[in-house]
Amino acid sequence: MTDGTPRGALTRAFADEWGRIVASLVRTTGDWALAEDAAQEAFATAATTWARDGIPRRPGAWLTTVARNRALDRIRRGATERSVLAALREGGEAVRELEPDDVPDDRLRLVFTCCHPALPLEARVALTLRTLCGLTVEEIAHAFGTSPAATAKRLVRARQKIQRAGIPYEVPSGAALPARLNGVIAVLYLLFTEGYAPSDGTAVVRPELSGEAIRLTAVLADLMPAEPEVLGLLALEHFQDSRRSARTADDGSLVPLDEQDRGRWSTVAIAAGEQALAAAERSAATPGFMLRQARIAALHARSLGTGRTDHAAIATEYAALVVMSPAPQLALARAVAVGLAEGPAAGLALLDELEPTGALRASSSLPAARADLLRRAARFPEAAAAYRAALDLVRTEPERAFLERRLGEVSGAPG
Amino acid sequence: MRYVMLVRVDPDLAATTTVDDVDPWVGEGTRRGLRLDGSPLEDPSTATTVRVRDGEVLLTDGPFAETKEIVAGYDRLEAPDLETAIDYASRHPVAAIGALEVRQVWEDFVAERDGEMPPTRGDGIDYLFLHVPEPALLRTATRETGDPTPWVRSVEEQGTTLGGARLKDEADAGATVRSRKGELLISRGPFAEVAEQIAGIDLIRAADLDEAIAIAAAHPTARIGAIEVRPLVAG
Repeated sequence: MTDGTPRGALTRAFADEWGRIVASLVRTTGDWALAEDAAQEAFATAATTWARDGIPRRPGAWLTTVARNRALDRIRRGATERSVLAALREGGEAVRELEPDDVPDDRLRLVFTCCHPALPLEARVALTLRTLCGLTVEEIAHAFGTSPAATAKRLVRARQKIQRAGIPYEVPSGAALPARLNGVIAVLYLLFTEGYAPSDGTAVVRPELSGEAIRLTAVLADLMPAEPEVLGLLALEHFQDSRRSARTADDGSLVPLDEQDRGRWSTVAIAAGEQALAAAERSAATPGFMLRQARIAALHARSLGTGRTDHAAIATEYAALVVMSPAPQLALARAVAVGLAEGPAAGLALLDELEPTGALRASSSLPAARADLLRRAARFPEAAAAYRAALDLVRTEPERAFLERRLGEVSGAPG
Repeated sequence: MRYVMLVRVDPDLAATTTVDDVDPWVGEGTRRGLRLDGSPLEDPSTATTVRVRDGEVLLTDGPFAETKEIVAGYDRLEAPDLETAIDYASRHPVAAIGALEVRQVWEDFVAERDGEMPPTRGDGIDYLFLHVPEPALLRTATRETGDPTPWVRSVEEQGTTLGGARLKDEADAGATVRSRKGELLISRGPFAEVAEQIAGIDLIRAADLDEAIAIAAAHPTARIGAIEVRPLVAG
């Protein structure tokens, strides 16, 4: 990225400056679409100008100025009626105030507005990707398997609701902050997991989405350095990301954690995870949800150095998580962890208590977990039946390939 | 007697039918002293539905129920009797592309304030709250937990209320009026497409949606049902 070419500089500037520029323009114009369009035009202009005239000394300032001027042009031309009205409502101040300033809170406000709980979840995710990460409508549509038209409509409706329903452009204060921050963390984590473990399709990972999530979480951690849950999320993302290239076999199938080639784990990402985790532990009075998840991810990562995974410690963290959240996926993960720590029978006993409700009912994860513990208990015919049940429900190709391989293994084994 | 008229539009009919301007209808209401005030609402896609369960505020995007005819505005009426209110409602242009739900106000539901009314806020965004209790939960509400009086007093103190009304749901206290192919169709009682009836409205002036949500969440209806928060069309 630091290759000194105009293209490299532009890529870097895009990562560093997009959210900042849009956030500042949203504040000064009050018009989301205008802010995004002006930022887009500034980067398009940079692509041709920088290649011709060279990289400006301060790329960020250059882009901010160009974007501001584009926004001003549009307001003056009356190209967007709403922004003119907004400018008039502000007594013309909006136009005067379009200075190339950067109020540090701008991006933070934008994060909270994009992730506002009065917006539908899909819109929160799409808006975050568009407004804060600068993904195009086509890229967002591609990432979530929707049509560009549907994605564009979703974004238009979300922006309309923000403006017309009066969703505030500010960081919530006082008692409202913890719940709203959890909402932001949930959106970022969803973004990351969609990148890391897509809910459908053929890819095991969509690195571009998880990369965006990590970048945005790092920005959030910078802006809210005293929030242990944000740091916990950042640590969790780094740890999971460290195993990204080891999660996929050459044939595209999923590789489970205990069979991964640990030589392919990224020590750089693990170090970043440990650093964020240490910062989270320092600022946490009591460990929160994300911090505990990060601890689990760290325990897996540390097996790289020690050669063994501390399953008992992992099971302890899951036991605490299950108390914090009723999500059935967590109870499932806990059962698997107990199965690895205390033996398959203990894990299977916990699985038997688990009611397949909600998302778990239609998911392959419950029969797949049962199959794995039965396999470990050498109860092969039962394991084969459970693998078949999981294959009936599986939705991604890499996971299907993995389950079929396992089914082959237990079918051939003496039962 | 006082009435609230909910203006409901069928988007399919609205897309294919041109209707008369509403100004003459408003003019008639003003002239005859039938219409107190009213406003169109922003599109239902700007709605937020607020519920409180186990002390937690739950938000959903959009209206409380998907109905063929969506609430697109409201009017507050004053008429000597229901027949006069229905007659006036039947001349509303939306009768041809939707329905006018006329509901008598339960006037003594919350006692009048003792003493002077604090001033109303000068600026902010105006929202219409639609109160929708769940029949099963409504039955469990006691006189104390379901009484909106403390809430009404508090929005009066804050200066955030522009008025509210509990609506009667008896068959003889309301009617839904439509006009199709020149024929007037009147069904007695509240709007009947969904099981949950709109039991009341409030008009709230808040700084932003967050404040409006907080005000809605403090109302008893949020615990025994839902409150749909709809921004009014500004201006």
